[in-house]
Amino acid sequence: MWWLYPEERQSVEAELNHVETALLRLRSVYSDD
Amino acid sequence: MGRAAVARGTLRHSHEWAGQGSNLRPWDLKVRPERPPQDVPSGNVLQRDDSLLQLDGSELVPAEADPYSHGYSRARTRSFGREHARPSEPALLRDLRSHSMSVSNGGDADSRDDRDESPFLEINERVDVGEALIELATQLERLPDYRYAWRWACAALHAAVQAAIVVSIAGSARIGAMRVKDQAKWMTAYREGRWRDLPDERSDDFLPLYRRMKEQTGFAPGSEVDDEVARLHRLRNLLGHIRPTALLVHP
Repeated sequence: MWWLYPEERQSVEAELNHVETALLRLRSVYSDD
Repeated sequence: MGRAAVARGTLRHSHEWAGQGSNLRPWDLKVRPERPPQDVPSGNVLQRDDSLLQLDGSELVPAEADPYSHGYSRARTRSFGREHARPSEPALLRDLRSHSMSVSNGGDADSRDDRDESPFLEINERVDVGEALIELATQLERLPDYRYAWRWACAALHAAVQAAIVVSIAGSARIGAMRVKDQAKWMTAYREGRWRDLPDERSDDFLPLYRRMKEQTGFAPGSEVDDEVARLHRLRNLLGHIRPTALLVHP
């Protein structure tokens, strides 16, 4: 059902990883406070 | 003048549309060229459904009679059972390459897309999934120094989730995200060529759409995620509708 072409899906997954990295950094920052 | 007549080529200057309300509907999203067009005058308007190109002084005419066809771009976003060119590379991929983020196969001859040929920026739900995620990551990276970024992060996250849901259930005819009662009506009108009778194409509300997506795809994230999605939607409503109230955010 996930109607994306493979390259679109690859890019979305890459951006999900990007967001995850940003979240991990942010959690680290707030946990240090 | 109806939409079908316009689609058949009776194009009018965009200023003539103002205030008439006959063809410009509230949900028609107008986009401006992202760069000065090379071959068409300024002041162009492209409606969301790809159907009505209104170009000041331009002779561009949709290639086919039905209002869901246009001939100016290779980027097809609707198929309706006809043979169409495969959608070209979306804006997201170009941006990913330019940001050197993730796509490793580099540019090739086939990566040239309609931005090279068209002055218009195309916004659609598939591109929006990734673009909203890019925006979300950008806002998260502004934190904690710029605390107001939470507001934009919330909006970007909601946009990403909503676009992903729509993409998931829109289907090949791309009507699956519409309100249920409108889907059969839309398809019947389309098959019979009754363009005037096409119902409002607005997507269903967010939470009903989320529930339908889970039913149709078998996605079962659990009650915790369901609660968070509902919470996200409440936050988005509070922020998006700009109520005269205040939210205090404590991460």
